[in-house]
Amino acid sequence: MSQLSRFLQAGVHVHPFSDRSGTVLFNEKTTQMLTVFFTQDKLNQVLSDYSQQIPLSADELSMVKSLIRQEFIYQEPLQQAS
Amino acid sequence: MTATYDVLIPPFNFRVQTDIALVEQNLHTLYGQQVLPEGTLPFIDYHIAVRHSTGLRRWFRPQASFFCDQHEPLKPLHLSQAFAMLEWGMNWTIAAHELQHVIVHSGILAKHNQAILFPAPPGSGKSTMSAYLAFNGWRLLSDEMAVIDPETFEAIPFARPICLKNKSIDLARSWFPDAPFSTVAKDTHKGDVIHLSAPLNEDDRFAPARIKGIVFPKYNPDITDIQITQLNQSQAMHELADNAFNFSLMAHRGFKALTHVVEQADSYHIEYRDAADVKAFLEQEVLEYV
Repeated sequence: MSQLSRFLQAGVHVHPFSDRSGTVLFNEKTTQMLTVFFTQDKLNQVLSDYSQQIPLSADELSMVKSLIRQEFIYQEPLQQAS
Repeated sequence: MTATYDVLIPPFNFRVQTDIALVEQNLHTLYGQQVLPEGTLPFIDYHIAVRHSTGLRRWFRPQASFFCDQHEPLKPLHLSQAFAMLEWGMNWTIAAHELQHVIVHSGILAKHNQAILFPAPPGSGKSTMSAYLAFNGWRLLSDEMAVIDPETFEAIPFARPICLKNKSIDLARSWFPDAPFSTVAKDTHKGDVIHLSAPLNEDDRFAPARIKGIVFPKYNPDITDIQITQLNQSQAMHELADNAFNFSLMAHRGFKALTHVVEQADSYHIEYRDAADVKAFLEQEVLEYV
């Protein structure tokens, strides 16, 4: 979570499911909720790769764009990190 | 003449006012000893009323109007649908105002204090199945709205009459000929509608239950055997959140409660033709026996 938290906007809560089927994010400011079918480790890895401009699969890229568009993660830190 | 009652429907206390005899009659038939003289309960959560509409509609094709405090949130209905309107008005009242509990659009029943959530859209057979279970050893916590304590994550009873529609009416009458039924509200937007009061042990009226399962049911008359698909937690959360009225308004508390419920429950899609198959599946595969 600590690694993932560097990408999250303020007020975003994350719950990784214990069966490792995915991770759910909730933004209490926008009240949006999004379930991604990636484990928390995988999610963190994808965001790290994106920030370093390491190529992502189409599904991974789509998920990152959804997270940005729906205001779960900051676009700026990802760009700065890259 | 206007009658006013306090109606005890844990966890909420309602004050109900009506000048419609049909409403008063059905209120007593279905809620029995929960209908108390005005002023009996020490506090009232919600003040609601169903009254004759005024003006022309008092006499020509007479209508009933629902009020929550001084607001009229629903369109008036034909007078013969006034009791159904009271029930739907109660649903609206809780869905629109309740922020102390997480509210899920779902049937919920329990056995051995283990509750199963049945979130489902209209037409899924949820209410018919709930009626079958409630009269066959299960405890009805709610037919329409599951109330979840955001601190304990337990389901709290909000037991009200089961709303049955169209073909289910005759089926339920044949299953439970001696049960308390309301009068039929004909030609509503849901078709013909009747309400059925499920048996309830006084000791269970306030008893919470741990949520052990989340079952998304679908009635299918064209299959022979029940079909069961287990869901992972992400799938269950995705579908459960679609049925949660107010979790987003409760912010982190609501989110935490829903994730906890999903973590502690087993989740399934089922397609069934016979409610007895659902009962057998739940009792043999989902409930824990200590």
